[in-house]
Amino acid sequence: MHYNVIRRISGLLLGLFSITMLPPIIVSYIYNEQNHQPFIIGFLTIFLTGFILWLSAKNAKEDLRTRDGFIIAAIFWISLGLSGAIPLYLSSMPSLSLTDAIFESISGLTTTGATVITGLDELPKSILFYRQQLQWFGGMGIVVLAVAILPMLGIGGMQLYKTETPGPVKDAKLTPRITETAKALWEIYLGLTIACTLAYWAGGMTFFDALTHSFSTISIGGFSTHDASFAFFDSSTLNYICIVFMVIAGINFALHFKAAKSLNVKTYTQNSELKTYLSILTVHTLLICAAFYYLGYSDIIEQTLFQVVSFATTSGFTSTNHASWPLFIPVLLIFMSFYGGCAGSTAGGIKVIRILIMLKQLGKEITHLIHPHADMPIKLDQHVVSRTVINAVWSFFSAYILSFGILMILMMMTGLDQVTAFSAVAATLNNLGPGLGDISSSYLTLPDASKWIACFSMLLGRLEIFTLLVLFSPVFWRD
Amino acid sequence: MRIVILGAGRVGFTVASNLSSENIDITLIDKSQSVVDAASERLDVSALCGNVSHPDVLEAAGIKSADIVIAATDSDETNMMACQVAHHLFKVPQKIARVRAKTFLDVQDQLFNANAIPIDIIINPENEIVQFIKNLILHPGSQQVLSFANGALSLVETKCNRDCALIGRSLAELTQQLTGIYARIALIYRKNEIIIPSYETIVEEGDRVFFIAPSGDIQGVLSLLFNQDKAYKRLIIAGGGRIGLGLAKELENTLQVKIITKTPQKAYQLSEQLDHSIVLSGDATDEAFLLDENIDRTDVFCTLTSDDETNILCSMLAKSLGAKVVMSLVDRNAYMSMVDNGSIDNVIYPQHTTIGKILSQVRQGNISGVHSLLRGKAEALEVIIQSNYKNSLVGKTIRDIKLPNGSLVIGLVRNNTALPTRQDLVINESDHLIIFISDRSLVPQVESIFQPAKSLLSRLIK
Repeated sequence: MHYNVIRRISGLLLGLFSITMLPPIIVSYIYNEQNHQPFIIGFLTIFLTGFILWLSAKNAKEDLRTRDGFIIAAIFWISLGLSGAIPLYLSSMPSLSLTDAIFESISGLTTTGATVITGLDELPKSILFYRQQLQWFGGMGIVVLAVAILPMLGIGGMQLYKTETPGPVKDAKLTPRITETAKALWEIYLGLTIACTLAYWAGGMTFFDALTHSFSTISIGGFSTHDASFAFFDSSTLNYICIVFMVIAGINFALHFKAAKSLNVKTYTQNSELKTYLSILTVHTLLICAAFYYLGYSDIIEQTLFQVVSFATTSGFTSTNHASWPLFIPVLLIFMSFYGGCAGSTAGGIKVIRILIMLKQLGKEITHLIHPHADMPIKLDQHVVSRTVINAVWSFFSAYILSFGILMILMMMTGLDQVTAFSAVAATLNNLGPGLGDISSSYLTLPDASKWIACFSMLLGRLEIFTLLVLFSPVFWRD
Repeated sequence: MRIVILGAGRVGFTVASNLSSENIDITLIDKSQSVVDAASERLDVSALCGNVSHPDVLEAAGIKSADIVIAATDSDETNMMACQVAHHLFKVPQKIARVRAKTFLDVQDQLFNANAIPIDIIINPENEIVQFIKNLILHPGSQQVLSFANGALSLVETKCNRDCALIGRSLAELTQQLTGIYARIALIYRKNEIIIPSYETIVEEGDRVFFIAPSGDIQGVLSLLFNQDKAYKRLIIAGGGRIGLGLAKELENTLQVKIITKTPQKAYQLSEQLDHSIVLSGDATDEAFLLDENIDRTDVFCTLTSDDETNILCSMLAKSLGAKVVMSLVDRNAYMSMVDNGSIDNVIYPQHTTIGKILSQVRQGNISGVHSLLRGKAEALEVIIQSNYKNSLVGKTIRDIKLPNGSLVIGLVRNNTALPTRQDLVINESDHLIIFISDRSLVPQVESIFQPAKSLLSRLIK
């Protein structure tokens, strides 16, 4: 373990993160709220911690090893979750306990969107802005941002980049140099955010709402500045704009990059992950609509589509009180969050591509029973998927299910009923947000112990299990 | 700048790792997936697997926007084909290819041009290493001989061992000793530090001294300063690969050459191609065998097999048995510090000899030659002065060149004759300047001084 390098880079990253405390101060000035103090304290604490860490090892020149990358990612997400809570904890509006502040901060950064705050509409704008902004930075990943703008990370940047990007094939670079790749991703991310802001603004939101909601839409976070989320606006136009941008943000950003570069629609139409993703969305919408018609509901297409897209991409916006729907529908929606988003997007969950590979493997096993001598490699977009990737996908899947089971039992041990425990773990592990039962609108009523478990579960989901799990392995610490 | 490198073998990988630290976008292609995986794991480049001469593979590697393609696979034919495809289908401006077969090189001018096989620059790493070793053997006492300005001027590296005549003497004394020869000690490398000497600097034991002199006078300087006037006579080469064979061919008419190879079959093949050399089949690590071949009366013992460990051990054995000078080819960087201070007189790192020719293509401005020095830490650049620079240097003195600290002009060649580089020497057009740079990070600053002025139009296009 190279503790010097780890300290130096963690210091740099914290310094970078401290800058994100500054925009809310500006917001506080614009709206004349006198609420800048928590952010100034937050900025100074984080900046100084980072500076001291960096100073203690500023001359460390060794390269990052794979192992150090894991530690940095884990330390960084945990310390970010904690330090991001500082302004929320210090602010008088809302008055949160330490646990609640940390829960809110981690929920923001991991783009989960589960909240413990009620009465959002009365909060100071600077706090609201800060929450949305946390989601925005967490979405594409602040480590990826650091790789893009801190050139001295060099080759070590690759080790960090791998730990944070979601998806089964981690070292697929878009450009020869890793910094360029990270930059390209952030450019697309920024471009989409601007487009989304303008669309919301034109659709009738105030500029503040448009900007903050675009933060949580493109990052697939799900925080809103209103308790009622999208139901507050009660506007079909806005609902459809939101649906479009959630769908776009749920697509692999590498695909957006290739399409933007070649200006060719074929990039999209030829990608099997995207095709599967879109058919999952369509099939589920039709299924739920059919069920609604059968049960006698009417005029439900818009709400169904919104909820399906919102849950499948793990955003977690709500446009209606979905918890009051016939129970199988909310449960189906929560199941969708396991397999709804594409790899390399800002969505959480297991990701479409892994499900696709597993289904193809399943089909292959069945064919194999009929033709025992056939040699059938699994292909995706005319390319053979290597055996190591398939193995990794399966072990990821089992680790995911195992984590899910253990966390759910733990949740029930803290006193939750089964539906609440199930939906709380699903909603946090998949970085979805809203659950069922007691937590369909807010996590406020949960006991503190369940909140801590939820925090761990959110980080586990955001870092795709293994990055965090590897730290619990004794082999990792043995030199 | 974008470069596509074909073949991630020894040559391709070295080139990629050297260039990727220089702000260049590199894509590596190789036919073996495991090699590709290793490259993308260890280097900041993108790597993909496929047949390097196939158009679809090249296109996937982004060759359309590439400035240079370097074909460095093992096969001459593949390299040529790839350059042809890159030229005709993708209009790559610069094509560098590794071509080794002598029969191709003999008809180089007819074959490698835009009408036949469009290759701009041919690299032949094995041959470059052979030339490098040949220079060392023909100039006893030297560690490295680099030539500039079409061979008019040479930079020579020497090592001061315990019995060296230079130790304890100042540069002023040494300069007096060199009456009539223009030569100058350009720099001294002492305990991992580069010293730019003044007249008062005193040479110490263990120093590596670099001097610059007209190529014809090198031997004179070496014999005056180092008492190394005896030319080598007896040479034993261990290893009958391309490099061993090439060296034997080059030297068998001037020296007594013996070449050792493992199997009798290989020995027979070698003897067919060599006229005056004695080809031996046997184990070069066998003590009795070496003594039978009079190892104690050998001037130079070269180990040139493809196996680093064999080379190192074999050289050490030969030295302990009494060989005067031992040289050994070592490929792995990790062994550098271990063998540098050992009993091997000359350790040859093939990586650094190959990279120079490619670096000179990558460098901006009118840089015509690049040699990497001190295991890649420092560099020596050759620049041809032209009158269309941003701040043209023609008519100015050497003092007026605003070189960054840590770099200096160590030589100037005008009309193929070397001139002393006094500070008030006025620079003419088409002079060759040789510049030493002590730290590679200074290279871009030096480049920018010698960049051609950009016309307004070309600036707008960019």
